[in-house]
Amino acid sequence: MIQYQEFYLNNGLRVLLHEDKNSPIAVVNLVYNIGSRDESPEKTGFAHLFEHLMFGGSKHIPSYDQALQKVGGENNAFTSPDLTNYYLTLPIANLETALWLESDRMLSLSFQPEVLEVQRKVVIEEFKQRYLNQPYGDLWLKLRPLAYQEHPYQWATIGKDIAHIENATMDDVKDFFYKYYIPNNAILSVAGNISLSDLEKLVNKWFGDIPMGKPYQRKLAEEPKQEQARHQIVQADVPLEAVYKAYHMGGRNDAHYFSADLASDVLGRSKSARLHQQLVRKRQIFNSISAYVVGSIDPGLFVIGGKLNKGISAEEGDQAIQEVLQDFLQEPIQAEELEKVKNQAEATLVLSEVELLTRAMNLAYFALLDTPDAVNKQGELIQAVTVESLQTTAQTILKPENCSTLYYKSL
Amino acid sequence: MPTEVKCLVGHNPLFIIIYKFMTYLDRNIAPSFQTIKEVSFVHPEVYSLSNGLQMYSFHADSQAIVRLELIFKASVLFEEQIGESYFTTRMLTEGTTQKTSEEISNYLDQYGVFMETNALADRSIIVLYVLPKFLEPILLLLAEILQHCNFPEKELQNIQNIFLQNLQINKQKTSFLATQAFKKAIFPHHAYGNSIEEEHLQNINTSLLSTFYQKYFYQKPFDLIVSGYVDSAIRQKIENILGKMTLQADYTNPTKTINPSTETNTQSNWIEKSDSLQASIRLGSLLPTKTHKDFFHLSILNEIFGGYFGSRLMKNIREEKGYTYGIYSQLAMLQQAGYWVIGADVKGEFARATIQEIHKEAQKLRQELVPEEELETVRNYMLGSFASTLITPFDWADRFKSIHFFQLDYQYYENYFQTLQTFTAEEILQSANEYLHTEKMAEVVVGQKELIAEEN
Repeated sequence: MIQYQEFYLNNGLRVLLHEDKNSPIAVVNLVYNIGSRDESPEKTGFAHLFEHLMFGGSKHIPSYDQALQKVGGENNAFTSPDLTNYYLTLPIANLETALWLESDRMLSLSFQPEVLEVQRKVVIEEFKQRYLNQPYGDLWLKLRPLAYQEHPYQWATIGKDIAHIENATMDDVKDFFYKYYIPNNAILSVAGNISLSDLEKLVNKWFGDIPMGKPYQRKLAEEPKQEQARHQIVQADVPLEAVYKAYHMGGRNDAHYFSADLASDVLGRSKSARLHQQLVRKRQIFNSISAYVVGSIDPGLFVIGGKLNKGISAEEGDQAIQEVLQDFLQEPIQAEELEKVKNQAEATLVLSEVELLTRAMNLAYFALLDTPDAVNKQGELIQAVTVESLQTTAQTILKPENCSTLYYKSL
Repeated sequence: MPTEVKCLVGHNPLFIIIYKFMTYLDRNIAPSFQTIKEVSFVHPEVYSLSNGLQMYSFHADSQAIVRLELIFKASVLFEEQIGESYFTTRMLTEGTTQKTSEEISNYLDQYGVFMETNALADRSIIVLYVLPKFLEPILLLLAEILQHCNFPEKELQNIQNIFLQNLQINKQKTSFLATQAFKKAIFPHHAYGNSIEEEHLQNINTSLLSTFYQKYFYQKPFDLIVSGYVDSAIRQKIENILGKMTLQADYTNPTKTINPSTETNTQSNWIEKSDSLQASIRLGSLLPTKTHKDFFHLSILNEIFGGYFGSRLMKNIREEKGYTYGIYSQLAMLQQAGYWVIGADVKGEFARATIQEIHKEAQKLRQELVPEEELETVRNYMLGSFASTLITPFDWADRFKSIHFFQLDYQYYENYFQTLQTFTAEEILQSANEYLHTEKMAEVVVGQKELIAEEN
């Protein structure tokens, strides 16, 4: 249970407080309602590049990092297809410094050309390090455009092409900033030992005069229902062949989300899951295999995938996966099997509430997704899944015509 | 200072006036701040179970999960064959006289338990997270594992097969190859430098692992560290099950010890990995362990050099030149030796230039005093960062582990905290002159030779 209080500023900034009287450290988490799904298809990778630029100096503060480190703070940020999230921790006594820093970069960046030039290079190296310089690293660069033909989830957050990052201009940067980095497109969540009235005073002081912007109306192309199975083969210098299957499913707010989530757990969460038992342990076809849901806000993907044992082809692996699926879809699962994945989900939820940082982050995320209160409803939603709802949902999702399949074949 | 400006919450008739006030907010001036003046350390509650096992417990009412850590004296330091400790710990959950591998996985998953078994450089560890309501069955399984592991042939084959294939995948990564070669360069004659290679697998068999298990796990005393929600009922359950196991006397210390004078190969080693877009760089040298008197200053020096986002290396190589997504410098502290590791994955053609910059930054730290402002920043950063590792019961347990196994007590942290508050630029300069000689360090670069070997 994460207790919280909330208020809004006149400029539309939504503020959440999770008061924890025991913590000498405070967390400030600021989520902007802008992710790679909001990018134009010609300028992908921009939300993430922009995240890097947010550390390159704001209007009145030349170095965000240095100013924060000086008061004993640490920070980081991440970008996903759905959102951009900035977070920091620092001694509670210095909370005001965090609000000074975050408000100044919400007010305006310094837009220095050198910062853009360097961060462009850094992001290109990040692109290589994470996606290109290791075997199978480009999986999502390939799988996304196969699964999504209309919706902007078709490109990865890093971007679909390094050239998009190489070509970004300062005008692009400014347009992006003024469109999305406005108080009425952000949610601030603070956790630590501070009262609501003290926080209200501080937040008003630093964020109160930032002008409201034109509300961002998200109008994204909807992904049409997939009617036919899709296949793609990647020839690569990989030691083991691999197969990845992505099925369309509902988004994070979909009524059947947790039925699908638990179905993926039954199939491929851990070593006792069906795919591992059947295909790694018994038949020794796969080196490793798992199933999971991506959990995106817009309609997402149910992914099954793994690497084959040496000498076994992707085709054979695909066939074996389908045999396991057939069995799974035909017979209702045992009550104990459902109980098991519910217990696993409960433990995950409890663990995620140990750290103050994840509590603050989850609050902001659920406020963006739905309501902050939803953070405390996840446990009930998990428990509400039944053998029947799980099976019906799985049958709807795991159809051959709803699937995009990608093979890695060894050269 | 704008700190006395009082603002009221929205929807107020005085809005215009308040707005005017706000326009006077001077954003150029940072709010006043405080440095951390004190920190407190949570010591463990120590219990002797009836069989003599020591249990160290860290409880907080606010927590809803229990972490159990069972730490054994078993590691590469005790091996006769490379890979013995790794495969023994991997096999702990692969079969007992009562349960098959499949049954053990089902059992753990049924109760939603996260469990890992790991062979580290100095010790082996079983760690698990369990909801309090499921603790009892999990303790029973642990007792079974510690007394009745049976090392099935079939499971070992499967695990070795998977290990070998993953090794082949990893060998395509420059970062993996660099780390392997680097470890060997730092410890050419010591078990710390070993990596498990394909040819070692033929020496690993179930009878070897079973013997290793008998020697270092079976009925052997271990350190039990319990953190999270650990009330008296939880402790009682632990006493009833783990406290009732038969234990034999303690066992001997590692046979392998280090001889620093013969260690470390400082020749540079440039390894070809064709088609790689980036080059992985590793530099480092042997250091004294964390029990040495110079360690605190060394860790501050390391922080300034490459330990945090505001470090010299990060600023120079990433934030000014954009050669890399990240560069770091770390002090690895093992039981018998410490070592320095500086690492980065950089654009191939900048490998040489990056190493030159690393040398330049090291030289600067040897020759020039760290300016006052940077000193203040790193001091406050390290104080804040230290304070933030003392919050949850898991943090308390982690802090405890990192002194307990080095025969240190909480005075160590008091001294560390005091050093952070008082260190001087002269002390850092001295430490750099003593330890930070990058040009004498072991140097490993893995990448496409035609790119990395270019003279700039």
